[in-house]
Amino acid sequence: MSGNHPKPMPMGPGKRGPGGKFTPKEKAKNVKGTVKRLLRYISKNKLLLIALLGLVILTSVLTLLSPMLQADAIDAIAEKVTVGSINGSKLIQTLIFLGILTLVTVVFNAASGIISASLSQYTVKILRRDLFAKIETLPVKYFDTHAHGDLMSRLTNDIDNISNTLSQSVTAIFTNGISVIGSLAFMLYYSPLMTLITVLAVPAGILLAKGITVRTRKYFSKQQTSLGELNGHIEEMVTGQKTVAAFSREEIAVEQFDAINQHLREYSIKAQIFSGLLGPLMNVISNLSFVLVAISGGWMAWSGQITIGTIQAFIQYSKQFSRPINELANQYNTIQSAIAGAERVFDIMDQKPESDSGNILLNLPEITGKVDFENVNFGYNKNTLVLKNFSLNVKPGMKIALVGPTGAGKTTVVNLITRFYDINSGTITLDDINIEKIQKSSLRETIGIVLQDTVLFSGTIRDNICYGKLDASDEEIIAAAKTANAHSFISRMPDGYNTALSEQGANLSQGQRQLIAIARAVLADPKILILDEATSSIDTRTEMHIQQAMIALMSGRTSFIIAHRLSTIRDADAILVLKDGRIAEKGNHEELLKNKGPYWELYMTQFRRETEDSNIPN
Amino acid sequence: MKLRKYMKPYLLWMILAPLAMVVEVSMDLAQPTLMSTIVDDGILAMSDGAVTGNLSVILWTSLKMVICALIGVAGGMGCTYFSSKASQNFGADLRSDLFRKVQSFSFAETDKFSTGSLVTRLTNDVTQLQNLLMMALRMFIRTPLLCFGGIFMALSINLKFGLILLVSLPVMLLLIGVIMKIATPFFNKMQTGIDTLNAVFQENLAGVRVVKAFTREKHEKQRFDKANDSLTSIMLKAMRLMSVVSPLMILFMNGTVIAVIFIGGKEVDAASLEVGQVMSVVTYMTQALMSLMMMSMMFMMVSRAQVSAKRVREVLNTESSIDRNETSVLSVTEGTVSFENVSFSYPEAAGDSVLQGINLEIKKGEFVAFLGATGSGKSTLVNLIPRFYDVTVGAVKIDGHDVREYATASLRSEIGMVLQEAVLFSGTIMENIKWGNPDATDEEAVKAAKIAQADDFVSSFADGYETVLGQRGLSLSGGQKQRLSISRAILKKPKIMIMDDSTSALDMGTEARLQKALKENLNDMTLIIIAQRISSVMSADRIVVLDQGKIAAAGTHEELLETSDIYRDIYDSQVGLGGVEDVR
Repeated sequence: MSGNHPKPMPMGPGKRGPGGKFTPKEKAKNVKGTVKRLLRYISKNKLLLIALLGLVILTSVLTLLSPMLQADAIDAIAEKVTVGSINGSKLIQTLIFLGILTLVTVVFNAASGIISASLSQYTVKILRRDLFAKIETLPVKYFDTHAHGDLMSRLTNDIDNISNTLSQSVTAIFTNGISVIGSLAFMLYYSPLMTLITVLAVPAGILLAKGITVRTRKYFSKQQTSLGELNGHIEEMVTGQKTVAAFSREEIAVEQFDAINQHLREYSIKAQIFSGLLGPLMNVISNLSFVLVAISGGWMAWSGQITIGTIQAFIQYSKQFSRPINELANQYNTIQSAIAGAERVFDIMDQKPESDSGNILLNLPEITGKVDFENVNFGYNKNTLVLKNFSLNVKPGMKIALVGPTGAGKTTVVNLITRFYDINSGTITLDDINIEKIQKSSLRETIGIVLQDTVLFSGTIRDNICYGKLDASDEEIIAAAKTANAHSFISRMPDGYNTALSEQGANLSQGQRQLIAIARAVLADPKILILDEATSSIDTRTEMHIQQAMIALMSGRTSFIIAHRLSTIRDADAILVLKDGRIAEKGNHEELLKNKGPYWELYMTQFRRETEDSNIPN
Repeated sequence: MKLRKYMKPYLLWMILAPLAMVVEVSMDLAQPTLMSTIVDDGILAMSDGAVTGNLSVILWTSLKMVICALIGVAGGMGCTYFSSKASQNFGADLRSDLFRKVQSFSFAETDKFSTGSLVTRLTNDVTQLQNLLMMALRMFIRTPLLCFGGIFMALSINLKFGLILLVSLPVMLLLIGVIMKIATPFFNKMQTGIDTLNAVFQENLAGVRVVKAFTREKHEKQRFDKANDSLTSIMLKAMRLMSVVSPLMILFMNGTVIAVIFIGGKEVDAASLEVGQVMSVVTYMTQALMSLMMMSMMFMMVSRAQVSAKRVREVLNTESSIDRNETSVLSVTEGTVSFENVSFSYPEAAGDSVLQGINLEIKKGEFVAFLGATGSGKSTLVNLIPRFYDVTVGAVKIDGHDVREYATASLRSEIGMVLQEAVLFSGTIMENIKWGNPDATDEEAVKAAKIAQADDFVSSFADGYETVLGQRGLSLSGGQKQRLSISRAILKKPKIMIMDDSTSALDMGTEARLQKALKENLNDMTLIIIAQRISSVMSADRIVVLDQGKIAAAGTHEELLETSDIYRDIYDSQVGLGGVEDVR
């Protein structure tokens, strides 16, 4: 419930677990379209694809020849009985053929394996590249409205699924398909009657499997439900374990756990039993069809209609006939979930990219940083406006502080200047140019931001400061770090600027991370600076140390300071109190206090008790 | 191997499962021999020097084959039944014990593992082990049996086939060994590659505003492409290696079959072997070598499960560092708290102690506030009172008794603790508040909510106190969560109330009303709060300023403004320079 911890790992029989194929799988909505699109990706490597198909067909056909040669060999040996001695020359000749055949098959097999690996990896690589490239073009709104975990799983799980399916299933479908048709042909060639008997056993097996599968699915879905419930309980109680302990609720938690665990135990035993039955039952069917082949073959050989070698060949062909049918049935689910995954990936690719109708390129050195809002209306959704008739004129180099309750639209102002979101009506201008006419990248190059949750990237400290200016020299980087008050602590680290940041910069304190973010902004040297709750997650004393860096950063730039608890507010050229999407009040600290308006109220709420006790100056 | 304990109750099933599997495998092994009987004694039966065949042998043997198949399937089903029962029960018991264990942990142990890791251990790792046990009971018996049974049957037909095995078996084993040796580092590298790629992706999701504001989309694409390229090349290498493996195995198997037919032919010629026997040896050999391949896969599975077993065992072997002292009859009656020369350092943590030589007396009904920078030890200090941690040196006493003398349940029942992170549980708001006291009436719960300033917003919900919270229910704002967790603690009517920075998301006005209501309604209660804001602590009877694990100053607001530099610093940073707070 605290919302931040990761979702429980999907559990229960996974792909590798027994019976995993019975877990209900999500289905793609538009199978045909998705497959077509996926094929377009695969056929980007046309040569590989053609080579692969050629090899697979060739290999499957060659594999089919092997039992035939084995049959010949057995027949050659059987001449001992029928003729009196084995047919040595025929035996050796057949065995040599068999040897050559095996060798060729193996080489082709290896080659097709390598090609299929390349094909799937190259395809997935392009898919990943395209997905990421697309992600980079999506508007901020998309990220604000979609769960990151979900997007993440599309890049990882879904693409993994596609990759596995491509490398295994595609080849498997062709191999198995040819195997089924080919062995059927061979069986017919050897004996139509025995073929009929064998082929009849297959549907019987499939029907039986289906009957079990239905039952299994029922118990599996019950198992999944109670497993989900149990995992939810574990997640909640373990994550909230400190609260559980504080209220001495351990025993109740255990009781609830036991009840769910008991359900799970019952269902999972049933589910596992039913799914486990499939193996032996398929085994018995394969054994019975073996018996059928033996009886009918024995009788036919006895009556002289076929040779013994034929029985041997038949046994193998009937296996090659029924095994792929089972495998194809198994592949069906894998392919299904891969297509569903592909659909989710394509869904991102079909999102509208951030539009940019602006074509004016700014000449950076000439930009002064004058920003004007004129009658701006904006809402995140159609129904509610966050900013109403908002007008604001900011002269170059001015420091503007935005204060007000949550939801008043402080951060919105920032989202609009950067064009992360577009306004409904009105105009925003930069140096008197409507920002909608400016190319977004050019506009954003004039803006630097420092956010509350410091975003640092994996890499070294240098890489992260460099983010502000990719081609910065060492001197520039150090100078920026000095301005940001970060140089001294960076120098104290064993690897200095080359210190690698651990995951999410965990080896730095909050304050240090923020200083690096400030250095990054300094290096970028923007005309407009936005500090969005930049010091809110730092305690007040640490904040005082960052203060100097902040002041240095803001000097000479148009700055927007969004305040939750910001001491620089007092020095701001203008403080805007936002309320319900409008500017409720505007002025500098002294003016606003004199006005005794909303700002004064805000200020006084904080010190109400003091004013009542009335011993605090100011 | 503490895990063995969990298999013990199901030992009978664990013995029966492999036994049933032995039945299935022996029936499987009998089939080719019966087949060879059909060929040699049925089809190729000789009488008077000519092949006449023997239909009754063919039919009788076929009947035997059907019976064998049926016995086999009975064995297989039995094995499935027993192994399912054993493994699922094992998993359920293990999970249950793990859960109990985790519930018994003190904060020190929970911190050591981190909750995320504990959740994974209870869910994923247990499932891994459960699956392994099931697989072990089925495949681990079946595969070697098929392998060695096949070899045994082949040898019993004619020892000469042993020559082939003498060559092919070691080569096959060597091949598997070499491949596994080459493959392992590839798979490690693959994992690193995947991690790097995911990291770039994750960073771009979290930092989309920064990427866009600095217009670094191109730079990010390059970073991603680099990670993508290196992952692809590692994957390709690994997959290419693997795609050579199975053809090599096939080559080997077919080579063996050729050898069998060749030697078999010679033996038939020398009249020491019959045709049908050659056929059955081909089948046995193929089976044996196939099983060998399966066995190599099983080893990989075991090594994966070993990691899970280790992680599960770590939890089971961790003893709660707190003795719950359940027999003690002592109970908290007053609510005075005293710290006597208390020092604390986290186990296994390097560096300075978190708390050093703390001495402090808190009277019954007193309102004490702790203030200090992050890392100054405030939270740790109050966590010692309900024994979430135990002191390293010194003693924490309540009503003059060391907290370690109380039974923890009795101790905690008199302490209302509101933690820094407001955790609510799925269920209704009413159910959540009644966590504090399951026997409380609805009226009492509403009253607690009123004191906690939660009643207003709860009443504004359509379902009021029956509003369902949780993953599928309503999500609350930080301030709302904090007020509900305070209500929960108030409902306990504790002698001592501790609020660990749990009003940070409330605006000043609400916080002031809350503190006032607490004083009015629960006047005898000792109130201990931790806060970041000066305004939260100003009305306290005593403010204790902590700095680097030591008490830097203590006194009322006015006294501290006079005497404490640190306090004045903090005051200036928030008030003097004109901080303004959110007001809802």
